[in-house]
Amino acid sequence: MYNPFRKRASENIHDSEAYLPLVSHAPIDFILSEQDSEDLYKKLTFVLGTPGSGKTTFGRLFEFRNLSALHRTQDDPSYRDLAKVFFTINAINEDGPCILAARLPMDAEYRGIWELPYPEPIKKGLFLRLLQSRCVITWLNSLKEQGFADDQIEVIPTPSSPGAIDAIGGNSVAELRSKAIEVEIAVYNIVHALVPRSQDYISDALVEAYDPLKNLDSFILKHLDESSLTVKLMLIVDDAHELHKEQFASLTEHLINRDLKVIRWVLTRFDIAISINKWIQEQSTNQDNPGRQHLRDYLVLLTNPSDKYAQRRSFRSAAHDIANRYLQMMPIFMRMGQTKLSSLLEETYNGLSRSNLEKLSARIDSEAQGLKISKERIVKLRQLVDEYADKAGEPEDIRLAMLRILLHRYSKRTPQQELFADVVVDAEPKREMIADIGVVHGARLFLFHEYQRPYYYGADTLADAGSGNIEQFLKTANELVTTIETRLIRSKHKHTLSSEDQHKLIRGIASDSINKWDFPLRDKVKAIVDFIGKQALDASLQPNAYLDHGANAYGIPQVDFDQLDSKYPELAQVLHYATAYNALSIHPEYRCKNEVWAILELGGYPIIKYGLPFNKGGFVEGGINSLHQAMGTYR
Amino acid sequence: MNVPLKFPRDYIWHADDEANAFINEYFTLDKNVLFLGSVGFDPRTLSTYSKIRDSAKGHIRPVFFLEDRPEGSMSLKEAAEERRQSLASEVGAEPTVRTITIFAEDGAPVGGRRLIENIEGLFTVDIDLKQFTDIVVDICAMSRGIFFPLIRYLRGKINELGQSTSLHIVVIDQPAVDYSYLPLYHDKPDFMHGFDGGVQRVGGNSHIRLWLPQLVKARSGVYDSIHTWLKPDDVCPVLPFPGISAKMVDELVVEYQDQIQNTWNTVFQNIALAAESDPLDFYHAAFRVHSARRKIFPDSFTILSPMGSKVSTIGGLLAAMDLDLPVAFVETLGYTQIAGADRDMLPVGEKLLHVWVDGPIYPQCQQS
Repeated sequence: MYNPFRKRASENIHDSEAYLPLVSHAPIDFILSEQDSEDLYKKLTFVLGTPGSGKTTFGRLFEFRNLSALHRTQDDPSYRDLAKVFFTINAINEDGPCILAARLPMDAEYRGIWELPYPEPIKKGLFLRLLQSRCVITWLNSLKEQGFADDQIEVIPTPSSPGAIDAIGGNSVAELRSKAIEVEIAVYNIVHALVPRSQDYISDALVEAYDPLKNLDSFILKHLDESSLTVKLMLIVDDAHELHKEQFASLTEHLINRDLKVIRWVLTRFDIAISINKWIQEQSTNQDNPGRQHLRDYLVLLTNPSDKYAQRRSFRSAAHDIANRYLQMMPIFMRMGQTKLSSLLEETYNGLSRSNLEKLSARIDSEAQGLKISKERIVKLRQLVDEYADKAGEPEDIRLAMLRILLHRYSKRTPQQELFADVVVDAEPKREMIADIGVVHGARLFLFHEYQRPYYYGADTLADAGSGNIEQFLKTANELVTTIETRLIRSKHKHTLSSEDQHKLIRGIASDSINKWDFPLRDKVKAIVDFIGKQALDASLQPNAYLDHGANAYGIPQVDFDQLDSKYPELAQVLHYATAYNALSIHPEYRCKNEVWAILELGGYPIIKYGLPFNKGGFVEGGINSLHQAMGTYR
Repeated sequence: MNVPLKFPRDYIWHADDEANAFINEYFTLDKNVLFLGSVGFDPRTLSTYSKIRDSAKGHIRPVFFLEDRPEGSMSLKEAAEERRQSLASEVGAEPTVRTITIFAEDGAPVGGRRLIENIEGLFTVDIDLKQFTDIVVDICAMSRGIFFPLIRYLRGKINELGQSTSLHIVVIDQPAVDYSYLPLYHDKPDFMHGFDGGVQRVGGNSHIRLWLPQLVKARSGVYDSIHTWLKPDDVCPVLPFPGISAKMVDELVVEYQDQIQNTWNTVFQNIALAAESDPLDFYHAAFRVHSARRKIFPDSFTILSPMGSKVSTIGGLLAAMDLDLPVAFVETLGYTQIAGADRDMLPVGEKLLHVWVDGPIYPQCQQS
């Protein structure tokens, strides 16, 4: 039975009409918000994001077939929101697509050029020629795929030096294509030779002259009804982080030229140890390119919001939208009118059983006695809890657990009682006692670990389990959706998932996925995740819940973290893979307690496995050396 | 892709007693042998060298490659180091050992290219290939990313020099040993160096792709990453039958049921079988599938991913060379061993296998 939630389903869909309804407009809206389309199309634009944040999906949307499909079906409700975004940025207009893009992923083949035994200018030349020839071929193939014959395409060159047009083949489409294929074959034969060819084999003309990015302006497409449409040309370099560092620099150097008429976008991950600001600063102070400035020479678009809270809100919204779109594509859900995921996941829990409540109550009495807290104070604290819980509608088990936290906080905020004193003194606490949402979160976490109260349930929690990665979200959602689908097929009266069911399923998926991690240095990543997870859990379950909702991260002083590459290269490599596979995310330059920290926040699955909260901000303080040692224990 | 179909070739191969007899009878005093092997943790590292040396009575020049990988269990790394240190005493003279760095500093897999660079240097400076009647490549401790380009390079070199040198592959066939090592894979698939087959060309090419992954256990992540990257139109998984275990096919189908049915959309008639201990079975299977495919889609690419036992992998290598087929793989960062495996213990049933890859024994193909 068709299930688009299955892992990587969208990557295997090539047909635009099938692909576009699966794409949410929400993240695209976010990425392009407040961008001037003139800037987007004139300046070199870097699209930066973490793995799985949607860079490739974003790039794919600009492909000609997808823009054509959006234009054709702009009034269809499934496409309307997405089409609107592309109208806004002038990627399509009433007449059709205004952009003809070639998206070229930088896989190992391009990186291999840097291994050839030639001087750097030759390697750079080969790389740029291969890239550009493929760019031209892809443009022309895209038009052919959409039914444009060669004589319906007019090539508009830039007014450049004499001979430049000859170097790219000529003015006609046939000549342009023929030259591009000729260049591709020539470079291909050099790059893929089993034994590297002699340097004499490589002509200067091959390395230098062919530069269609410089010599092409646009294409005019002539429709059969004699109307015409001018399309801007676009190159999207995808996965640019796969290139050698020097290769990346060469590419940037070539593409930053503002005289180029072709739109140039580079999609890349930013390196783990470099915050966005630092990356921009690096570009600006690059000694080879002094005076280069962000905004003036290039743009940076982020697929992840820099504000962590905004990031979570934005991802939740996109995840809900995508999930609902996917449900609409599943016949059984459509037939039963169940196309909203949040309405299929129950958000309530009835509370602990009577026997467990009695046990909890007895435990609190015993702890209060041990802490030597007067009965009057217990009553006062309980009133405090009830005042808040009445407004928030919290059940009895949460109230009791909140009371427990307040008892321990009270104990910490008053002088220690004498051990064998007959009378318990009801001292006033040094700081005011407050019952708030933080205490509720602490109470929930405590009940989850001590009394197996469900903790991970609801559509927002499901989105949070995705760690900002749509693929991971879909994988988690797939298990839940499949269970609901089975219930629908069996015509069960109740097909929604209870909080207990959701909690159990989500915990199972997280543990199973971590067990099946299959990426480089996974054992060392597991060691670090285990180290952070256990420390965070210990801090989160302190009786006074001093971190309120708890911790899910490890903080290292930024000054120490800055030495990661130089002093701890192996740890840097491990963290690289940890972030690439959503085991961790790194948030540098975080200011807290008058210090600057680099925060290593666990990913969705590790958070669930160790039973930690998704709430942002809670971290345990530590040192980089401890982290390095923790990694070493797995050797 | 317009390679004339002058194959399949009836490769000569021997196993077990036949292979031992062949080595004893063939590698005599009139032979001058260049022996290329790898020194690593595999307990079979020097087994075949000793046999050929004893038979050739010293007319043998050994060259060993040391594959330098960034990861792996300490136990296996120690085993490799012990074997490297004892090499001189085993070989009887200071052997030539060349280290091949499999990953560049930035983590990019570069093993194939570094091997060719290394061996080109060796043949230019230290070794005159013309003096040898036979080149023997022992693949026991050699990874696929190394012996695939090596064999192709040697075959090309012999033909280029117009010599009547013979090229042999030898291996101790023990699938149980092969499967006792758990590879830790890199996360990016690639085509093996020299085995691209023109498939990555964008211009003027057909983009129809058929992928033939050889299935082995516990490689789900690798198949997923290759599939996502290749985007094949059709997938024809190759299962080991007959194999070392009668249940293996069933176990593999169960393990990869989700991929086969839901991701690859393979119909069960399109599953191929290849014997695990017959080097030519996979060769002929690949040949049949490719030939049948070309009748309908003349420009279609058939892409191999040989991941089975060493012996069946030889079939993949021969098919890829003879038909110029692309080979997709994921390089290995290092190895660990399955729980309970003894790093030094060779399981019973050691079986020597020899494949005669090229030489005057095949006059027709030498001329073509």
